[in-house]
Amino acid sequence: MLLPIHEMLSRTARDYPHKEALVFRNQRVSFSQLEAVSTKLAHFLRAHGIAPGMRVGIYSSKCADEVTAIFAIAKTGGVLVHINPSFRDEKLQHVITECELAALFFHESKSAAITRLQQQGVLPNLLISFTENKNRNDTDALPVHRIETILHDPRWVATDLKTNTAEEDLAAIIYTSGTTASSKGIIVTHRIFSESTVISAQVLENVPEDRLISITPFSFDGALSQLFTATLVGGTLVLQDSNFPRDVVRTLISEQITGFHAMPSFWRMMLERYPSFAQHEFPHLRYLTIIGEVFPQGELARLKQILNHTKFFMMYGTTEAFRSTCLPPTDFSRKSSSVGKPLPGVEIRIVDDKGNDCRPGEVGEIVHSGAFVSPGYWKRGGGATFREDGVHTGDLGMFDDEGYLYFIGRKDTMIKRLGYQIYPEEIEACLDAIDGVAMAAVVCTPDNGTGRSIRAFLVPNPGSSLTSDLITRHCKHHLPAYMMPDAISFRSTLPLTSTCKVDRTQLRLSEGL
Amino acid sequence: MNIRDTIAGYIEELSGERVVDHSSNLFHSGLLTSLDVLSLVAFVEDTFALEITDDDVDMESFGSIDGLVALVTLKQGQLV
Repeated sequence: MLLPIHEMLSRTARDYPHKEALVFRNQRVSFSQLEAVSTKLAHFLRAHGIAPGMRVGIYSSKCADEVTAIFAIAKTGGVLVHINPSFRDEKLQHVITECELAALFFHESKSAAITRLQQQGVLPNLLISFTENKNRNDTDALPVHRIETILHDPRWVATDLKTNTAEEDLAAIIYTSGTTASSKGIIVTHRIFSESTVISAQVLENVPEDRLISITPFSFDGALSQLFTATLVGGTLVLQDSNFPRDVVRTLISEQITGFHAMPSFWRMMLERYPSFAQHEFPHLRYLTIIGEVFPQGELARLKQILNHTKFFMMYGTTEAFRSTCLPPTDFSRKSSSVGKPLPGVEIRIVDDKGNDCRPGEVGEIVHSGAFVSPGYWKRGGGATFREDGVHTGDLGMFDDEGYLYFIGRKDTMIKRLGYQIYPEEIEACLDAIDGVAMAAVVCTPDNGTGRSIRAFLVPNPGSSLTSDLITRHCKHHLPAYMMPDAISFRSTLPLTSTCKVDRTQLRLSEGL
Repeated sequence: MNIRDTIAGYIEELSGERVVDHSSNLFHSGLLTSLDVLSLVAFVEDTFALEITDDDVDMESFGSIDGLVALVTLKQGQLV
């Protein structure tokens, strides 16, 4: 079997004991240190009743202790449940209860939420806090172990725990965003983590000299993937706890970052809110991986112009199938709007409503089979997503004549009008391409006359002189008549989700649609 | 009202919670998200008649009430 993630750490700690594994602010942790502290913490967990298969949660802002805990959980055979730090009480409680967490790690900055849940009696008995400031006593009222106390306790030794991990053993449960009721836990096995780590490191050509910046929370599969690939090859992971563009740019330069994983919305925020980004140079930045949503072509070209020496890997995947496709940098100039071809071991099909394969150029649902497919949702089975022929992603895509995949949007935002299928994302892409448009959102609403009407909401760039006439002219030029917006409105901002995508549900609510 | 109370009052308005520890990080605790940054910048500019540049907006200045107070105090000093 492939090495499970915690054994990857043990091996790298033997091969590169003194190499920097983690950087967090002024803290620098070598691979041998990381191996030692995570093993000690694993002994503590085991002594406190954590056995293979038990779920252990982490609820924290980005810090080095999180990584110690991630590997410690794996070493005990426990199942990692990293809870998105932006989840508020209700969703936090939902995850704790649904997963029946046996223990919970939390950052001291989350003490207020933890105290509230403690009063409601929903927390596990074993609580461990990540504490940065020794003088703080936020958690004194709670029966909490402090990680620094545990790591200084001579009872917990750094000798191997000898856990037998099998390929199909559960490694993690990753919760999707969405409303509390619809937020589902996706099961990830050790085999998926190991295989995807090896493949990712091959595709991205990761080497021990790599220094990757980790900006998204470890509740996202992409963040875990980055951590494990860095661990596999002996590269350094630089933990970034501030998303402020200026802070990120500072870290990119001072830490000589070579690899960066982010969603298009992060880069759009960077380009919009921090124009000085273009004045800096990033000679060390070898590659970007971009995943998660459609990247408006104009902005992608602008980013590439600024980072002209950096390789761009455009990727597609859903957590249900971990990693699906990748566009190699060598194809970027001629296929930049594509997300590439399936990774080794992955099969991607595009199917219509009846389940038949679509022809090149035809849009249908993306179905992923082969490697990296999750066994299903925690306590909820497979639903309509996991079927015999693979993972029905709910994402719409198409292949071109050369077999390159294009991600179009979400199936549930698609509407039919006058017999045509209309994807709001396609209209948004057209609007985003107009000079002076900072952000565009399209909402389709029922209308008694035509069946549906299309409403466009635009945020203009400061100082631009956009008019709805100009927008209409541009759309007439670029869109078929059935895709023309019926109403165009200007706004100073649009509601965004925690991942900086336009929040269509919120937009509908605030516009009374 | 002094600078500190004005800022603390606005954070309470924005997040719906009263911040007791002014050194605590507003983003890590989940009280504010990156979506609140633009409102926060506009508030500081309008209330204290200051200009905030791209390079002023970082975690050190915008991450806590203490940071914001220090930023406003520094900027006001530069105006004199």
